[in-house]
Amino acid sequence: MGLLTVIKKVKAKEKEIRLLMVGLDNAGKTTIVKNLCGEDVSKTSPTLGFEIKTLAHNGYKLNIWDVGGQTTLRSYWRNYYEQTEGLIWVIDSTDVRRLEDCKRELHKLLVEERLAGATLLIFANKQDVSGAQSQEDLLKALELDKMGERHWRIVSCSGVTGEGVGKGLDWVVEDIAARIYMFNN
Amino acid sequence: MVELPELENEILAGEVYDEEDLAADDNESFFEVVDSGEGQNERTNLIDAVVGKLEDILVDESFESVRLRFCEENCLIFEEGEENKLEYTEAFRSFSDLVETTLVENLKAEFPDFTVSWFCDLLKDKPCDGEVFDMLFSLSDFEEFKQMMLDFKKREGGDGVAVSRMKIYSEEQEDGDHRPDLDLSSLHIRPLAN
Ligand SMILES: Nc1nc2c(ncn2[C@@H]2O[C@H](COP(=O)(O)OP(=O)(O)O)[C@@H](O)[C@H]2O)c(=O)[nH]1
Ligand SMILES: [Mg+2]
Repeated sequence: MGLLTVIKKVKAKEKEIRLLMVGLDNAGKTTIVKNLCGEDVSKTSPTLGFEIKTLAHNGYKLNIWDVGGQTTLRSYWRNYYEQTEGLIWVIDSTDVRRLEDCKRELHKLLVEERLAGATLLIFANKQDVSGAQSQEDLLKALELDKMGERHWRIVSCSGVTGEGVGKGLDWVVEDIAARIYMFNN
Repeated sequence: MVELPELENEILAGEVYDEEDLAADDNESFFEVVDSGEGQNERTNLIDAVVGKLEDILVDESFESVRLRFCEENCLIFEEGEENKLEYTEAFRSFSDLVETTLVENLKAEFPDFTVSWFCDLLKDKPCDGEVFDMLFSLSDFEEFKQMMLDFKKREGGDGVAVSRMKIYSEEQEDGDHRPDLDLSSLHIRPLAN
Protein backbone atom coordinates (compact mmCIF):
# COMPACT_ATOMS: atom_id res chain seq x y z
CA MET A 1 0.00 0.00 0.00
CA GLY A 2 1.27 3.46 -0.86
CA LEU A 3 1.90 6.35 1.47
CA LEU A 4 -1.03 8.37 0.14
CA THR A 5 -3.41 5.45 0.54
CA VAL A 6 -2.33 5.04 4.13
CA ILE A 7 -2.83 8.72 4.88
CA LYS A 8 -6.21 8.70 3.17
CA LYS A 9 -7.32 5.79 5.32
CA VAL A 10 -6.13 7.34 8.57
CA LYS A 11 -7.53 10.78 7.79
CA ALA A 12 -10.99 9.71 6.66
CA LYS A 13 -13.29 11.29 9.22
CA GLU A 14 -16.14 8.93 8.64
CA LYS A 15 -16.06 5.21 8.15
CA GLU A 16 -15.97 4.80 4.41
CA ILE A 17 -17.04 1.91 2.26
CA ARG A 18 -16.31 1.64 -1.43
CA LEU A 19 -18.86 -0.09 -3.64
CA LEU A 20 -18.49 -0.85 -7.33
CA MET A 21 -21.58 -1.21 -9.54
CA VAL A 22 -21.01 -3.49 -12.49
CA GLY A 23 -23.00 -5.54 -14.94
CA LEU A 24 -23.91 -5.47 -18.62
CA ASP A 25 -25.03 -2.20 -20.17
CA ASN A 26 -28.76 -1.49 -19.76
CA ALA A 27 -28.94 -3.64 -16.62
CA GLY A 28 -30.12 -0.67 -14.57
CA LYS A 29 -26.97 0.23 -12.59
CA THR A 30 -27.33 3.98 -12.96
CA THR A 31 -31.06 3.79 -12.25
CA ILE A 32 -30.43 1.91 -9.01
CA VAL A 33 -27.77 4.39 -7.91
CA LYS A 34 -30.10 7.29 -8.67
CA ASN A 35 -32.85 5.60 -6.72
CA LEU A 36 -30.52 5.21 -3.74
CA CYS A 37 -29.63 8.89 -3.92
CA GLY A 38 -33.27 9.93 -4.14
CA GLU A 39 -32.86 11.31 -7.65
CA ASP A 40 -35.24 11.20 -10.59
CA VAL A 41 -34.98 7.76 -12.20
CA SER A 42 -37.17 8.46 -15.23
CA LYS A 43 -34.28 9.41 -17.48
CA THR A 44 -30.86 7.84 -17.60
CA SER A 45 -28.50 7.88 -20.54
CA PRO A 46 -25.93 5.15 -21.11
CA THR A 47 -22.85 5.67 -18.93
CA LEU A 48 -19.76 6.09 -21.10
CA GLY A 49 -17.33 6.95 -18.34
CA PHE A 50 -17.98 6.62 -14.64
CA GLU A 51 -19.73 8.45 -11.83
CA ILE A 52 -19.01 8.52 -8.14
CA LYS A 53 -21.89 9.10 -5.76
CA THR A 54 -21.42 9.65 -2.08
CA LEU A 55 -24.16 8.53 0.25
CA ALA A 56 -24.54 8.51 4.02
CA HIS A 57 -26.00 5.19 5.11
CA ASN A 58 -26.38 3.84 8.67
CA GLY A 59 -23.38 5.80 9.91
CA TYR A 60 -21.15 4.94 6.97
CA LYS A 61 -20.04 7.03 4.07
CA LEU A 62 -20.63 5.03 0.91
CA ASN A 63 -18.66 5.85 -2.20
CA ILE A 64 -20.56 4.22 -5.04
CA TRP A 65 -18.68 3.88 -8.31
CA ASP A 66 -20.97 3.45 -11.31
CA VAL A 67 -19.15 2.46 -14.49
CA GLY A 68 -20.34 1.85 -18.03
CA GLY A 69 -21.11 -1.74 -19.02
CA GLN A 70 -20.85 -1.73 -22.83
CA THR A 71 -18.64 -4.42 -24.32
CA THR A 72 -15.95 -1.91 -25.20
CA LEU A 73 -15.92 -0.47 -21.69
CA ARG A 74 -15.65 -3.72 -19.75
CA SER A 75 -11.88 -3.88 -20.07
CA TYR A 76 -11.73 -0.65 -18.06
CA TRP A 77 -13.52 -2.17 -15.07
CA ARG A 78 -10.24 -3.44 -13.71
CA ASN A 79 -9.10 0.13 -13.08
CA TYR A 80 -11.70 0.36 -10.34
CA TYR A 81 -11.05 -2.88 -8.42
CA GLU A 82 -8.44 -1.47 -6.08
CA GLN A 83 -9.87 -0.93 -2.59
CA THR A 84 -13.33 -2.06 -3.62
CA GLU A 85 -14.98 -3.63 -0.60
CA GLY A 86 -18.33 -4.45 -2.14
CA LEU A 87 -19.26 -5.52 -5.63
CA ILE A 88 -22.82 -4.93 -6.78
CA TRP A 89 -23.58 -6.97 -9.87
CA VAL A 90 -26.77 -5.82 -11.58
CA ILE A 91 -28.76 -8.08 -13.90
CA ASP A 92 -31.55 -7.11 -16.24
CA SER A 93 -33.85 -9.99 -15.31
CA THR A 94 -35.83 -9.54 -18.52
CA ASP A 95 -32.82 -9.93 -20.79
CA VAL A 96 -32.78 -13.71 -21.20
CA ARG A 97 -30.92 -13.41 -24.48
CA ARG A 98 -27.79 -12.01 -22.83
CA LEU A 99 -27.83 -14.19 -19.73
CA GLU A 100 -24.93 -16.23 -21.05
CA ASP A 101 -22.91 -13.06 -21.63
CA CYS A 102 -23.84 -11.90 -18.15
CA LYS A 103 -22.70 -15.17 -16.61
CA ARG A 104 -19.37 -15.09 -18.42
CA GLU A 105 -18.59 -11.53 -17.34
CA LEU A 106 -19.53 -12.23 -13.73
CA HIS A 107 -17.33 -15.30 -13.59
CA LYS A 108 -14.45 -13.23 -14.93
CA LEU A 109 -14.83 -10.84 -12.02
CA LEU A 110 -14.99 -13.61 -9.48
CA VAL A 111 -11.51 -14.86 -10.31
CA GLU A 112 -9.98 -11.37 -10.00
CA GLU A 113 -7.46 -11.44 -7.20
CA ARG A 114 -8.03 -7.83 -6.21
CA LEU A 115 -11.72 -8.57 -5.72
CA ALA A 116 -11.20 -11.80 -3.82
CA GLY A 117 -12.16 -10.26 -0.47
CA ALA A 118 -15.07 -8.19 -1.76
CA THR A 119 -18.62 -8.93 -0.67
CA LEU A 120 -20.86 -9.64 -3.66
CA LEU A 121 -24.45 -8.45 -3.93
CA ILE A 122 -26.35 -9.53 -7.02
CA PHE A 123 -29.36 -7.42 -7.89
CA ALA A 124 -31.98 -9.26 -9.96
CA ASN A 125 -33.27 -5.98 -11.36
CA LYS A 126 -36.39 -4.98 -13.29
CA GLN A 127 -38.66 -7.23 -11.27
CA ASP A 128 -41.48 -4.77 -11.93
CA VAL A 129 -41.62 -6.01 -15.52
CA SER A 130 -43.90 -8.98 -16.04
CA GLY A 131 -42.04 -12.00 -17.32
CA ALA A 132 -38.86 -11.08 -15.48
CA GLN A 133 -36.81 -14.12 -14.49
CA SER A 134 -37.05 -15.04 -10.83
CA GLN A 135 -33.89 -14.91 -8.73
CA GLU A 136 -33.96 -18.71 -8.50
CA ASP A 137 -33.95 -19.05 -12.29
CA LEU A 138 -31.16 -16.50 -12.57
CA LEU A 139 -29.06 -18.31 -9.99
CA LYS A 140 -29.40 -21.53 -11.89
CA ALA A 141 -28.34 -19.84 -15.12
CA LEU A 142 -25.38 -18.09 -13.52
CA GLU A 143 -23.98 -21.37 -12.13
CA LEU A 144 -22.66 -19.85 -8.95
CA ASP A 145 -21.77 -23.06 -7.22
CA LYS A 146 -18.08 -22.50 -6.55
CA MET A 147 -18.15 -19.40 -4.40
CA GLY A 148 -15.73 -20.61 -1.72
CA GLU A 149 -15.29 -18.18 1.14
CA ARG A 150 -16.95 -15.24 -0.52
CA HIS A 151 -19.84 -13.49 1.21
CA TRP A 152 -22.56 -13.14 -1.37
CA ARG A 153 -26.28 -12.84 -1.81
CA ILE A 154 -28.89 -12.26 -4.50
CA VAL A 155 -31.74 -9.78 -3.98
CA SER A 156 -34.69 -9.12 -6.30
CA CYS A 157 -35.29 -5.46 -6.96
CA SER A 158 -36.57 -2.73 -9.22
CA GLY A 159 -34.51 0.38 -9.77
CA VAL A 160 -37.63 2.12 -11.02
CA THR A 161 -39.99 1.42 -8.10
CA GLY A 162 -37.17 1.13 -5.56
CA GLU A 163 -38.47 -2.19 -4.27
CA GLY A 164 -35.68 -4.33 -2.81
CA VAL A 165 -32.97 -1.76 -3.47
CA GLY A 166 -32.66 -0.62 0.14
CA LYS A 167 -32.75 -4.17 1.40
CA GLY A 168 -29.85 -5.15 -0.83
CA LEU A 169 -27.81 -2.14 0.17
CA ASP A 170 -28.44 -2.74 3.87
CA TRP A 171 -27.15 -6.26 3.55
CA VAL A 172 -23.99 -5.42 1.63
CA VAL A 173 -23.08 -2.54 3.95
CA GLU A 174 -23.72 -4.60 7.07
CA ASP A 175 -21.63 -7.46 5.75
CA ILE A 176 -18.70 -5.23 4.85
CA ALA A 177 -18.90 -3.23 8.06
CA ALA A 178 -18.80 -6.39 10.17
CA ARG A 179 -15.76 -7.51 8.24
CA ILE A 180 -13.66 -4.35 8.17
CA TYR A 181 -14.86 -2.24 11.08
CA MET A 182 -15.60 -4.74 13.81
CA PHE A 183 -12.13 -4.87 15.32
CA ASN A 184 -10.67 -1.43 14.73
CA ASN A 185 -13.70 0.16 16.46
CA MET B 1 28.97 59.74 14.20
CA VAL B 2 28.13 58.85 17.73
CA GLU B 3 25.26 56.64 16.72
CA LEU B 4 27.26 54.34 14.53
CA PRO B 5 29.25 52.47 17.17
CA GLU B 6 26.10 52.12 19.21
CA LEU B 7 24.36 50.44 16.34
CA GLU B 8 27.36 48.21 15.82
CA ASN B 9 27.27 47.27 19.44
CA GLU B 10 23.62 46.44 19.23
CA ILE B 11 24.11 44.19 16.27
CA LEU B 12 27.06 42.53 17.92
CA ALA B 13 25.14 42.04 21.12
CA GLY B 14 22.23 40.61 19.18
CA GLU B 15 24.44 38.15 17.39
CA VAL B 16 26.12 36.97 20.53
CA TYR B 17 22.80 36.56 22.24
CA ASP B 18 21.36 34.56 19.35
CA GLU B 19 24.30 32.22 19.32
CA GLU B 20 24.00 31.62 23.02
CA ASP B 21 20.29 31.02 22.66
CA LEU B 22 20.80 28.55 19.87
CA ALA B 23 23.46 26.69 21.81
CA ALA B 24 21.20 26.50 24.83
CA ASP B 25 18.38 25.12 22.71
CA ASP B 26 20.65 22.50 21.27
CA ASN B 27 21.76 21.39 24.69
CA GLU B 28 18.25 21.24 25.97
CA SER B 29 16.96 19.00 23.24
CA PHE B 30 20.11 16.91 23.44
CA PHE B 31 19.57 16.26 27.15
CA GLU B 32 15.88 15.63 26.66
CA VAL B 33 16.51 12.80 24.26
CA VAL B 34 19.17 11.21 26.46
CA ASP B 35 17.15 11.58 29.63
CA SER B 36 13.89 10.11 28.36
CA GLY B 37 15.33 6.66 27.91
CA GLU B 38 12.08 4.89 27.08
CA GLY B 39 12.15 6.25 23.56
CA GLN B 40 8.90 8.14 23.85
CA ASN B 41 10.47 11.53 23.28
CA GLU B 42 12.72 10.15 20.63
CA ARG B 43 9.64 8.96 18.79
CA THR B 44 7.93 12.32 19.18
CA ASN B 45 11.01 14.06 17.83
CA LEU B 46 11.17 11.69 14.92
CA ILE B 47 7.49 12.23 14.11
CA ASP B 48 8.05 15.99 14.21
CA ALA B 49 11.01 15.60 11.90
CA VAL B 50 9.06 13.45 9.43
CA VAL B 51 6.05 15.77 9.43
CA GLY B 52 8.40 18.72 9.04
CA LYS B 53 10.06 17.06 6.09
CA LEU B 54 6.69 16.29 4.50
CA GLU B 55 5.79 19.94 4.82
CA ASP B 56 9.11 20.98 3.28
CA ILE B 57 8.52 18.70 0.32
CA LEU B 58 4.99 19.95 -0.24
CA VAL B 59 5.86 23.64 -0.15
CA ASP B 60 9.05 23.18 -2.12
CA GLU B 61 9.41 25.02 -5.39
CA SER B 62 10.27 21.88 -7.34
CA PHE B 63 7.18 19.99 -6.19
CA GLU B 64 5.01 22.95 -7.07
CA SER B 65 6.49 23.20 -10.55
CA VAL B 66 6.02 19.47 -11.13
CA ARG B 67 2.39 19.83 -10.04
CA LEU B 68 1.79 22.81 -12.29
CA ARG B 69 3.42 21.12 -15.27
CA PHE B 70 1.19 18.11 -14.71
CA CYS B 71 -1.90 20.32 -14.60
CA GLU B 72 -0.82 22.08 -17.76
CA GLU B 73 -0.28 18.85 -19.64
CA ASN B 74 -3.46 17.12 -18.51
CA CYS B 75 -6.15 19.70 -17.80
CA LEU B 76 -7.52 19.79 -21.35
CA ILE B 77 -9.34 16.47 -21.08
CA PHE B 78 -11.29 17.67 -18.03
CA GLU B 79 -14.79 19.04 -18.40
CA GLU B 80 -17.45 20.17 -15.97
CA GLY B 81 -20.15 17.60 -15.31
CA GLU B 82 -20.96 14.75 -13.00
CA GLU B 83 -19.98 11.95 -15.34
CA ASN B 84 -16.24 11.38 -15.53
CA LYS B 85 -14.37 10.37 -18.63
CA LEU B 86 -12.40 7.15 -18.45
CA GLU B 87 -9.19 9.10 -19.14
CA TYR B 88 -9.53 10.85 -15.78
CA THR B 89 -8.67 7.60 -14.05
CA GLU B 90 -5.40 7.27 -15.91
CA ALA B 91 -4.55 10.91 -15.23
CA PHE B 92 -5.35 10.49 -11.55
CA ARG B 93 -3.17 7.42 -11.35
CA SER B 94 -0.25 9.24 -12.98
CA PHE B 95 -0.71 12.14 -10.62
CA SER B 96 -0.85 9.89 -7.55
CA ASP B 97 2.29 8.09 -8.72
CA LEU B 98 4.04 11.40 -9.21
CA VAL B 99 3.15 12.63 -5.73
CA GLU B 100 3.93 9.27 -4.16
CA THR B 101 7.34 9.05 -5.82
CA THR B 102 8.26 12.60 -4.87
CA LEU B 103 7.30 12.06 -1.25
CA VAL B 104 8.93 8.67 -0.87
CA GLU B 105 12.18 9.64 -2.59
CA ASN B 106 12.61 12.77 -0.51
CA LEU B 107 11.70 11.02 2.73
CA LYS B 108 14.15 8.21 1.98
CA ALA B 109 16.92 10.72 1.39
CA GLU B 110 16.38 12.17 4.85
CA PHE B 111 15.34 9.02 6.74
CA PRO B 112 17.19 5.98 5.35
CA ASP B 113 14.89 3.60 7.26
CA PHE B 114 11.81 5.00 5.59
CA THR B 115 9.26 2.55 4.21
CA VAL B 116 5.49 2.89 4.27
CA SER B 117 5.21 0.39 7.11
CA TRP B 118 7.95 2.21 9.05
CA PHE B 119 5.83 5.34 8.67
CA CYS B 120 2.69 3.51 9.83
CA ASP B 121 4.44 2.10 12.89
CA LEU B 122 5.80 5.51 13.74
CA LEU B 123 2.44 7.23 13.52
CA LYS B 124 0.20 4.52 14.87
CA ASP B 125 -2.20 5.74 17.59
CA LYS B 126 -1.09 9.33 16.89
CA PRO B 127 -3.71 11.67 15.44
CA CYS B 128 -2.73 12.85 11.96
CA ASP B 129 -3.96 16.40 12.44
CA GLY B 130 -2.76 19.59 10.92
CA GLU B 131 -2.26 21.27 7.61
CA VAL B 132 0.30 18.79 6.27
CA PHE B 133 -2.05 15.84 6.62
CA ASP B 134 -4.99 17.82 5.27
CA MET B 135 -2.93 18.63 2.22
CA LEU B 136 -1.80 15.04 1.74
CA PHE B 137 -5.39 13.91 2.14
CA SER B 138 -6.62 16.19 -0.62
CA LEU B 139 -3.78 15.05 -2.85
CA SER B 140 -5.04 11.48 -2.47
CA ASP B 141 -8.67 12.21 -3.29
CA PHE B 142 -10.10 11.79 -6.78
CA GLU B 143 -12.79 14.46 -6.49
CA GLU B 144 -10.25 16.99 -5.20
CA PHE B 145 -7.97 16.07 -8.08
CA LYS B 146 -10.75 16.60 -10.61
CA GLN B 147 -11.56 19.98 -9.08
CA MET B 148 -7.90 20.97 -9.15
CA MET B 149 -7.71 20.18 -12.86
CA LEU B 150 -10.94 22.04 -13.63
CA ASP B 151 -9.82 25.07 -11.64
CA PHE B 152 -6.47 25.08 -13.38
CA LYS B 153 -8.09 24.84 -16.79
CA LYS B 154 -10.48 27.68 -16.00
CA ARG B 155 -7.73 29.89 -14.64
CA GLU B 156 -5.03 29.22 -17.20
CA GLY B 157 -6.77 28.37 -20.38
CA GLY B 158 -10.37 29.46 -20.50
CA ASP B 159 -11.43 27.24 -23.36
CA GLY B 160 -8.05 25.58 -23.25
CA VAL B 161 -6.66 27.19 -26.40
CA ALA B 162 -4.10 29.32 -24.59
CA VAL B 163 -2.83 26.32 -22.63
CA SER B 164 -2.34 24.12 -25.64
CA ARG B 165 -0.49 26.93 -27.41
CA MET B 166 1.65 27.48 -24.39
CA LYS B 167 2.53 23.79 -24.31
CA ILE B 168 3.55 23.57 -27.94
CA TYR B 169 5.61 26.70 -27.53
CA SER B 170 7.50 25.42 -24.51
CA GLU B 171 8.13 22.07 -26.16
CA GLU B 172 9.57 23.83 -29.14
CA GLN B 173 11.76 25.89 -26.87
CA GLU B 174 12.98 22.87 -24.98
CA ASP B 175 13.99 20.56 -27.79
CA GLY B 176 14.82 23.38 -30.12
CA ASP B 177 13.40 21.56 -33.14
CA HIS B 178 10.86 23.05 -35.50
CA ARG B 179 7.79 20.92 -35.09
CA PRO B 180 5.35 23.37 -36.67
CA ASP B 181 7.48 23.40 -39.83
CA LEU B 182 7.56 19.61 -39.92
CA ASP B 183 3.81 19.43 -39.48
CA LEU B 184 3.31 21.91 -42.26
CA SER B 185 5.49 19.98 -44.66
CA SER B 186 3.72 16.71 -43.89
CA LEU B 187 0.41 18.49 -44.49
CA HIS B 188 1.80 19.68 -47.75
CA ILE B 189 2.92 16.21 -48.83
CA ARG B 190 -0.32 14.44 -48.02
CA PRO B 191 -2.50 16.04 -50.72
CA LEU B 192 0.22 15.34 -53.28
CA ALA B 193 0.40 11.67 -52.36
CA ASN B 194 -3.36 11.32 -52.64
N1 LIG C 1 -38.90 -1.41 -15.94
C1 LIG C 1 -37.70 -1.15 -15.44
N2 LIG C 1 -36.79 -0.49 -16.18
C2 LIG C 1 -35.58 -0.26 -15.62
C3 LIG C 1 -35.26 -0.66 -14.32
N3 LIG C 1 -34.00 -0.27 -14.05
C4 LIG C 1 -33.56 0.37 -15.17
N4 LIG C 1 -34.51 0.38 -16.11
C5 LIG C 1 -34.39 0.95 -17.46
O1 LIG C 1 -33.35 0.30 -18.15
C6 LIG C 1 -32.63 1.20 -18.97
C7 LIG C 1 -31.15 1.19 -18.62
O2 LIG C 1 -30.97 1.69 -17.32
P1 LIG C 1 -29.58 2.27 -16.83
O3 LIG C 1 -29.74 2.55 -15.38
O4 LIG C 1 -29.10 3.37 -17.67
O5 LIG C 1 -28.64 1.00 -17.05
P2 LIG C 1 -27.07 0.84 -16.91
O6 LIG C 1 -26.52 0.81 -18.28
O7 LIG C 1 -26.85 -0.45 -16.21
O8 LIG C 1 -26.57 2.00 -16.09
C8 LIG C 1 -33.29 2.55 -18.77
O9 LIG C 1 -34.18 2.78 -19.79
C9 LIG C 1 -33.99 2.41 -17.43
O10 LIG C 1 -35.10 3.23 -17.32
C10 LIG C 1 -36.25 -1.38 -13.56
O11 LIG C 1 -36.06 -1.77 -12.42
N5 LIG C 1 -37.45 -1.59 -14.18
MG1 LIG D 1 -25.12 3.43 -16.49
